[in-house]
Amino acid sequence: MKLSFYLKLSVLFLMTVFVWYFIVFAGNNLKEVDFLNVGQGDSQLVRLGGVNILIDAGRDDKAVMELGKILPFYDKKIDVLFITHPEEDHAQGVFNLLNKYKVGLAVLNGEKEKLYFPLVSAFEKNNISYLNLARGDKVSYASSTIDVLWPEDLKEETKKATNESSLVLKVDLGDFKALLTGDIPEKIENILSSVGDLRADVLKVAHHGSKYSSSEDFLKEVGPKLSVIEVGKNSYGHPTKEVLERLKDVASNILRTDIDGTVRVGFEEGKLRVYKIKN
Amino acid sequence: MMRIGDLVFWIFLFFIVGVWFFGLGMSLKIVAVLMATIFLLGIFYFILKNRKEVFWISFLSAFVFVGYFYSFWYDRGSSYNLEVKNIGEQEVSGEIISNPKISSSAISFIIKNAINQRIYVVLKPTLDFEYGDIFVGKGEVEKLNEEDKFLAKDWVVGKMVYPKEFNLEKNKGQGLALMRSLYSFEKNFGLILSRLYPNNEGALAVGMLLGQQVAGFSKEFVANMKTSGTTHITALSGYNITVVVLVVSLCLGFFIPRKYNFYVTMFFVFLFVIMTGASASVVRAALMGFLILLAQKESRIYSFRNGVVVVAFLMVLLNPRVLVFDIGFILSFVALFGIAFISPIIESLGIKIFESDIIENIWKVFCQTMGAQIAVLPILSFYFGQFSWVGVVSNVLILLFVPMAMALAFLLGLVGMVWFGLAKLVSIIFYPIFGYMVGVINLFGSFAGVLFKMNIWMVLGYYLCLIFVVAKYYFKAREKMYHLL
Repeated sequence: MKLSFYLKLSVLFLMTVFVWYFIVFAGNNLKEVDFLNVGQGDSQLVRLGGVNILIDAGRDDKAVMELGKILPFYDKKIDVLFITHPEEDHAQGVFNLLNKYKVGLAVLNGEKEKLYFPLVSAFEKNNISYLNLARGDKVSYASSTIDVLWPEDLKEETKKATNESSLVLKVDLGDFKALLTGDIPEKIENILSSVGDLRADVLKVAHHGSKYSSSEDFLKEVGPKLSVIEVGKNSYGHPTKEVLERLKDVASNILRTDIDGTVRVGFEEGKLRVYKIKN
Repeated sequence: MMRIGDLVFWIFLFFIVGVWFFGLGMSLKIVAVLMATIFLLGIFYFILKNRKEVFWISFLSAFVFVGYFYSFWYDRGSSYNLEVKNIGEQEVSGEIISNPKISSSAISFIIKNAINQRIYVVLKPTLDFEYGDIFVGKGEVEKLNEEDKFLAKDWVVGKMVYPKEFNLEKNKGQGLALMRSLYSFEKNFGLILSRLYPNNEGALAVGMLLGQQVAGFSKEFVANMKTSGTTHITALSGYNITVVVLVVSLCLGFFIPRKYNFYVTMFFVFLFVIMTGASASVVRAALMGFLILLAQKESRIYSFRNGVVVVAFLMVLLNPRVLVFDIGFILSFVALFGIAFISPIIESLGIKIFESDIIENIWKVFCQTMGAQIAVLPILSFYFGQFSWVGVVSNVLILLFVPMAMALAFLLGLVGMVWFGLAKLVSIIFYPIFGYMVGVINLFGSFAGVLFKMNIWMVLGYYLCLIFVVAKYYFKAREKMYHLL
């Protein structure tokens, strides 16, 4: 009788320790950015302690697969989902994502084109709040911030062609900064150069390395130590020779998701650490 | 004269063979020559050995022609059997009559248009298409090709893949309310399970319980299951029906008088079957489960051999096309025969080294797997041009855990529907089981499959040899058949 009581008690105690361990210690000091290998498309995961922020979701279920490898098995929540613009290679994967992950809040660029309405209807069906953000808006958690640098505003008259209204985000994790540029072309880069501080340690190269993006001036302005090109099999010639040359000219290290797999960037012992996560 | 049970068995069996011959596209002439030869051989054997049952069996083989003509009549008489009217770009609209299947990058379903033609539609999964909605799309309608053979059993005449434009009208169709609620229950149940675990583990839990249709496996994992020979654990089968029967009779045993228990359990099994799309393997398992429970209820002895043939006969009678076009149907029955007739032979070869329950269980699973594999090998080779040589090992490593994993998944899903947080907590404890299964599948999935395509004559030859070996064994050891017949 007594033995079985103590046995039950110790099992309960062990289970309690087990559960609290996950709550208290599971990656609370974590600060990293993962550039997910989703083929020809974009998806980045920013991890701040236990908070997951996903920027874009690729074009199919690859983002979900990569998330499954990166996040611990019990963690099935994306706290904030940014969609830089509602184009297939950035947003189609959201529909796969919603089947597997709970999303807290969705952020869009305000452009009512292409996948916008299907996305909004999927958010509504899953009871996910969504809003549009523009330059000047900021998302912060503890000492880390995500600044929205683009689009300029959400007024109808300034509506741009899809890529031109991509959300551009500057992620400041204290120890290092990353600039996530969606699909913006050179024209927008020029505007951005004139408005604020673009310097970042890591750059997500715009539009999968298209030659119409990543101008020399812009790259100089950003001065990235590491540039990550998210690219897969494609017929556009991405990443282009021109962009690879320009990146070399600013002495940036280059990693490509099609060659290097998912790229993880973190900060350890006073240094920027980069890991390649291959399949 | 034969016993009534034997008579029915042979009639049904020959009828099924006739339907099969028609489905294979054999001409009447070939069938006639084949049957005449078998008939003459039978008579010859009868005269030589004076075995009466052989005489009767040869005589009953004429039912092959009944099956053949039934199939012929069914195909001609069917209003579905129309060629697709218009091929090429056009606007198509119709009600969704199947539970949409979601895969890694597409959603697919069958619609029925205004003139009752069935068209298979494949889309990017953007809108939330559900059974009973109206689909409107503009794009190319193509004829079905060899790869789409599996659609033939559903009487699909054409397909529309990635239409240029499409839209949907929610809940405007005539679909049955019961089906709609069952499908939505299934979807929610699957969603809860897949959110408890990482992608592959979650999908495996859903797949084992509700079938591959709703699991949402990644392409890589599907390929790994194929190579490791473990795809069948996500095919709905006897395991699933057993879980439903056990859970329902356990839960309801407290509330419902014993004599009604059978009917209520069968009602839930019926709901489960239609919820999961009434695929051949689950219908087969449910009908056999029904016969077993019925035999128990009526205190009769259940005959495995007769049960299987009656079930197959009923299914073929309802839709003769399942016999050739539904690989699930074929594999389900052939594997069953392998387990019932070949596994005991292998088991009898074993020498008992240790007196241990665990080792005995492993040996049993090994024999069952071998039996099933030997039986289905030519079919896999014929249809897919590939079979797994590591399947025996991977299955022995996995199958022992399948019943437990299924029961756990069922439990987690039920708890999750009431309180997701609690299910999440409990799921952490059970994670190793699912993690282990996925690990085994991925490990054995990395071995290359054997590529070899048999033609129809090789398949027939293989089975003739197999039947000969099995028959010889059982005629030698007739007493061993008592538990089967």
